[in-house]
Amino acid sequence: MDERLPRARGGDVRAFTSLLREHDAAMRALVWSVVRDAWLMDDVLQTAYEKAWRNLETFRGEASFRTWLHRICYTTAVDALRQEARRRHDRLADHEDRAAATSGPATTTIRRLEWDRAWSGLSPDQRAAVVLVVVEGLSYEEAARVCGSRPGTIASRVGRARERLRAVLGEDARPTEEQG
Amino acid sequence: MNERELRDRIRHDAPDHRPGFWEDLERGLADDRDADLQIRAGAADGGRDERLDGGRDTRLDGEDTRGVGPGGHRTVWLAAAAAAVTVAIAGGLTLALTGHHGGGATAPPRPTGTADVTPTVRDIQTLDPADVAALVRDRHLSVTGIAAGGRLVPGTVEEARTWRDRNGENLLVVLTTVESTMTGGRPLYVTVHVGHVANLDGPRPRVLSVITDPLFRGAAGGCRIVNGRLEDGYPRFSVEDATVGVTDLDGDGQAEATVAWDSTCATDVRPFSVMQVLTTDGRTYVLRGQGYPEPPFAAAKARGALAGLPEASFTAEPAANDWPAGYLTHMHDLFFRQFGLHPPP
Repeated sequence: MDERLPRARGGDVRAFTSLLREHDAAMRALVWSVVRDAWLMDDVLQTAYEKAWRNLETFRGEASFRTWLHRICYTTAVDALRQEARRRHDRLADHEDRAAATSGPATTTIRRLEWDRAWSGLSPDQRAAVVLVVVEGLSYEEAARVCGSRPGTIASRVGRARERLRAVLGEDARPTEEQG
Repeated sequence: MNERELRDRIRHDAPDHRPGFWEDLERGLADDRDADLQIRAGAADGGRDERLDGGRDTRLDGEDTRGVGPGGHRTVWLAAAAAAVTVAIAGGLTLALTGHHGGGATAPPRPTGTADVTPTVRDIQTLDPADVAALVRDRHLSVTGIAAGGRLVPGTVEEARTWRDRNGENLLVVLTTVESTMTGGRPLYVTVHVGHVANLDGPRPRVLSVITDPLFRGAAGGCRIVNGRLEDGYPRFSVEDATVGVTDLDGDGQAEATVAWDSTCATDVRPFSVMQVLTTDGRTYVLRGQGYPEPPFAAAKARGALAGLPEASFTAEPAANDWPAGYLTHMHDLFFRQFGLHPPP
């Protein structure tokens, strides 16, 4: 077990956030895949990290800390998405600016737009499944525990997501090189 | 796109955190830990919940709740006439208030919302939407903002005030979000959100209360809809700046902030729905009403032109008898201000 965990349980905030920072990119990818909103992603992660902090004593180490955190982030994101479903009117100027500024590389190309269209066209469940299985390398069983689904459901989501991405991007489509 | 490219693309898809995310989080976790330690030590004083979502969240679903509502809510009947208004609280208590029409040459200036300054509530400021956006950005109110769940609702800022009291620097903001529009862009369904955030000048602002009021829900303000088309008018709403006020009615050093809005089907003689809200330190008091309160209607009513139409009525939430002394009278004054009438002396 990571030596920072007992310190965090003892109230060491820095030890806990040090752990979080290590897993944060993965958590951002997962939450972003569900909510697709920069402000909401931050809100969800803050809420999820606070939940994790308050429930550290319940983490028994049966799953990895990362999987445990995945589960909290995923359920918090899905809850937030439900709450926000009726409120997606993005009219505060700075919100729009931020969304534009954070939606990817500085250079927007047709390929980038195609990618955005393809990725955004997937359901939140499908995107989360792809993030967990393809990006994070979780098994279907592990991803199912995170999402509260069955392994077969996860496999199906990943499969359908791949099909849809392939349909939009093509078999040989290559992503644009990141710039800036 | 091969597997590696897919992974890279997804990994780079998520945006970075906003500036200050980690600092805010660490402060929040430390606050949480300290509060927990206090509770364990038996030092908790029964004070407020300091979590982001600790503010009260009140949803007003726009149902017609005239009459005695759930939990014994009383109805305040208000009969508007040209020179006198009688307020009767069902259950026996009757108040007679006298007023005059405003709008003429002798009408007093409308209150600005900054007139009720007391020594315990100070620095009341009116913010324009740009100020609110700056405040949201500077104080990171995306996290501690105004909405169920603690998120500022992106929407149109109708009114906003800041002030200082025992809770530090406060923000009252009234936002509207258009849920759907008619052809031509006129709003069809609108939600009003009122949020009160305190301790803006501290490390961790707190959402004290949030109220959401979905207007026109399923009723389009009383306009007739035939085959999916509005037939005889359009839904209209307005948040009156004259009703946005900050004061300390009970002198406890924590301001009472008020705002009211009304909605109706325009271009027809239809009743207005009126919402009046008072919020203080996480508690909210609401008068929900329906009637014909605008001066032209009141005048017409005085002439008998509207004979037979229902009188205005208000439902108090919580029950009127449970409101602190002075709050109800203050709200009645607000009603006069909302429709350009003289408040009673």
